[in-house]
Amino acid sequence: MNREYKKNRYNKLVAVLLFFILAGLSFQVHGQNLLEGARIWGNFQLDAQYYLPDSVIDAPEVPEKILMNGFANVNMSYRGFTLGFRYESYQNALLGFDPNYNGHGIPYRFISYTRDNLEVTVGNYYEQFGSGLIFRTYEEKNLGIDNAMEGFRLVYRPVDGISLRGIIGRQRLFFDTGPGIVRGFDANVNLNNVIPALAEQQSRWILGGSVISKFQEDNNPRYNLPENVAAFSGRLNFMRGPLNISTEYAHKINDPSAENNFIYKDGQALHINATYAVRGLGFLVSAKRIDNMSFRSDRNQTGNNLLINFLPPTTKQHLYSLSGMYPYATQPNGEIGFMSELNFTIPRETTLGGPYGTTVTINYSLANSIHKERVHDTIPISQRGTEGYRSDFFRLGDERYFRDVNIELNRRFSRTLRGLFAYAYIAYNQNVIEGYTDKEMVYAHVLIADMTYRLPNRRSLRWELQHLSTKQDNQDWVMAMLEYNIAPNWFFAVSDQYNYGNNNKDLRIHYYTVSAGYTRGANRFGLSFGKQREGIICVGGVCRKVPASYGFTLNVTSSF
Amino acid sequence: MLLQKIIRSIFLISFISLGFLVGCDIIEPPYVTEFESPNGDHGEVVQKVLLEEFTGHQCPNCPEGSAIAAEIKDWYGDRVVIMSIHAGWFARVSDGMFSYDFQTEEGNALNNFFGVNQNPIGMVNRTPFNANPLMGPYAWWDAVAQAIEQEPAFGLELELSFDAGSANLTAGIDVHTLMQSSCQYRLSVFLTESGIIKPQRTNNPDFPSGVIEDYEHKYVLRTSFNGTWGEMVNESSIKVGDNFTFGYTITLDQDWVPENCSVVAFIYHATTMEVIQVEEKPVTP
Amino acid sequence: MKRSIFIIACFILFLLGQAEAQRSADLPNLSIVTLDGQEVNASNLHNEGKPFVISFWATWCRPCLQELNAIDDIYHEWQEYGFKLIAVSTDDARTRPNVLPMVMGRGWEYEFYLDENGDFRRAMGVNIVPHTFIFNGKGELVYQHTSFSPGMEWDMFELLIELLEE
Repeated sequence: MNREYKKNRYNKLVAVLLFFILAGLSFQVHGQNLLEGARIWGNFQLDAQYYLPDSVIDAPEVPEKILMNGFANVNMSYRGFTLGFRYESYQNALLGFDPNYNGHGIPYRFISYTRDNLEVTVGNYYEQFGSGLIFRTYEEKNLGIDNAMEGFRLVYRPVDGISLRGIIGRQRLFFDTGPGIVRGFDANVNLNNVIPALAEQQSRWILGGSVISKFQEDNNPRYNLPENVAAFSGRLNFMRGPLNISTEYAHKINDPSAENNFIYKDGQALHINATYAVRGLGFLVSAKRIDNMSFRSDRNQTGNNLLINFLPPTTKQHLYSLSGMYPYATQPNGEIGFMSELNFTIPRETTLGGPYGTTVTINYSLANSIHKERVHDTIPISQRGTEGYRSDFFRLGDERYFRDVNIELNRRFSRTLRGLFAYAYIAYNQNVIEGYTDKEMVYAHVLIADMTYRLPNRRSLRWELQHLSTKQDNQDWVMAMLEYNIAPNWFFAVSDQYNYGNNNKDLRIHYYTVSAGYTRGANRFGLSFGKQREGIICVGGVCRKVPASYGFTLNVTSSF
Repeated sequence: MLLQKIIRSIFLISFISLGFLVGCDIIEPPYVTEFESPNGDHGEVVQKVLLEEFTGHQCPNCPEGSAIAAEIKDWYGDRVVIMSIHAGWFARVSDGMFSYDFQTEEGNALNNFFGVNQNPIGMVNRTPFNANPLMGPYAWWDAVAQAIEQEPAFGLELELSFDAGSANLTAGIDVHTLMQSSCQYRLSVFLTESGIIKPQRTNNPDFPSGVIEDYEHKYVLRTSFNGTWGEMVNESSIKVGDNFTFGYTITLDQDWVPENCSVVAFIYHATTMEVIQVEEKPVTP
Repeated sequence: MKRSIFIIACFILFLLGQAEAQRSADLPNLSIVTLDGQEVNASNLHNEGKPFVISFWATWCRPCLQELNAIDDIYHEWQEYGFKLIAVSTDDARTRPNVLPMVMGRGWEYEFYLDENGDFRRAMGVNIVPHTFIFNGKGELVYQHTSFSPGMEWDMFELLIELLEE
């Protein structure tokens, strides 16, 4: 273990040295001015928190008192040639992040080269095939997710409208790589560019297909495990005028894993999106079915580790703290989801639209279990070491996972006043989504008002008022926030979330926060003090559970 | 520019061939090899493996973890020694069904030291497997398969005497070395109990209430003979054939059934914490 | 062993790179996608010799929507000067289908692109959204800022006018 650690340190040193040698060399060879023709960029982020214990909100005593996550990206490009690295440091990781991050290192370094139609990357890279149903590597530092590949990638565009991608490598696991090798190939063809007869057509067609295969040794004496697991997907995107339909279907062969309880059933996923959009009106319908589609480069991993594919929930991502209190998370072992959204603008200078117009968003989404039945009378559903279950593709399962109906109005009243009003009704299956067995389904009504009032000299005042009512979980909440902005540099805010309706009188807690921030160009400093309730934060399609905490938080971000 | 052309052709060829090289192992039933008779008695010293399972009676996923541990134990017989450590959030005591306290001082100390933050999770010989000694139940199979292949470096013999009247249990442990080393090793001795019938949360759909009321808790860590971290075996370097002897006495709680109790003793590396050899013996023969 | 292959590969790439012609300095050479699925090279983004703004946003980011709404209120004035806002959505597969209905439903008239897996975002050093870049008519990056508070749309407008007069 010790030797392994030293070896890693040595490797990192090599990577850094390499970067500077190459950088230096490129300047020398041409004898040019140091920065001429080269572009250097990157960013930096530091989040630190000073923790105070609070037994009422369940904020734990942190032995280190201060925890910190930080990273810096440094990149350089020069003549079609890009290289970069990221230094990460967790001293120790903030609460809610996996403590396996504790420590520091350079887990991300790459060099890539683009010439004409060919792009080559060695080292670490992020890539996505189609919508990610069988392959997506990405990073989301605020959620502690980074499943970057380490290996090779080629992108080749032989003619306009065709792109081919090939990847091979291992995925990042904290400061190491996982045990499995991931290999894949993707082709994307824009038919209108490739087939001359279609060039002038109004209808546009884009076709794509990919295949991913992972390899992991089978050392299990009892289970006969597949060492190579492949997944295939095909996609089609059709557009004609305001209509845009995209669909992707994926199939994965037997892949027993900790997540699916070592069953040998094949996996399937289907995702369809259809939109109709003209200026002033946009309409979306989307449907999805997922069956046993967890796909990782280590069959023994769970959580967010070593995921090869990306299965986002098809539900609205709410923007406010109380409407976002019960966010849905995809159930990779099986779910059927549906979402519809209507966006439109009531024109300005009409009775309903007001002097500046009003935009309206209405959204509905649902998620249910898939239908599952036993493969044999004697074998329970999802019994490990069996086929698992059978499922009728078109049958909705009985169990409700999630419902959400919401409407949002956004209206400008005058030159100085703008307001947003929203209502949401959410039904949330806490047992399935959060992994409990003894909780009730939560039914919540949320009301939100958000007003921005502009003052002279680029000052503004913004306030939010939110209310959530439910008979389940922690019952009713109210939230108020007041923010004072001095553009472009300063902001000051106070907010309070009050669980006033909690059945347990001792838990009727005020979660207050006082914060201030200073922004100058691409540098930003933020400082806040207060209590954070236990909750779930989401960025894009993924969420992370954050424990309750109390104390000071400092955030610094900077881009250059 | 010939070089560039060649390189580009190589790229293109490797690109296209990638598509055909995709591996795909379709497994036909039976997926599972049936049990052979487990490895029984061995005259000479064999390598045994310690599987420490962190669990809790309020953890709905934990029965599945314990079932996998049991499968492994069935497969390897007495070459795998299980210790179930009830600690952390899911082992908490609540009013009503979950009022029985499985937690121990030693268990909590191990839970904190190894940074357990989810259940079920476990360690096989406290040895890193994919960089981390903590791993989910399905990885235990692979880790045990790997650990059991090692050459034994120590032999352990347990001599137990139990006095039913006073409930005093005396354990004598003989450690003999089968290798030479300049490292330091420690000896830990714990008591486990099986056959404890108490409620357990579950996510098994056969139990719609989410609770198995008469669940049998096995291999539950009860106490230690020499503290959480045990006692140093050797201060200086060791050579083949060295012998060390240790003796401890504890008093069993009234609550514990001696017939269901076992003593688990193991040697571990004092700095890496990796377990080198383990032995288990029931309190009553 | 693995490392030495990496090093050798780096050098081969480096040597190949020597022959590459120079590209525009402040925008990366990678592909982004239009709302109707066409791949476009980011280094070709321009505004016919006039200053322009590139703003990274997401449908789930409240201050981003605030920024795009605020600019929309005065966009006709920007357009009188020939200025352009290029809005790059960083929405991933979850919310990407919502982008087109949202921008059409709100009647925004910006030039939109999708950067679904964050390649463009990373290549510009963007850490948090909104993150806005202002380019002069020659396509050189002159200013960038993160976050939004009401009134900043006017700061941007003033800077664009300054750049036009240069």
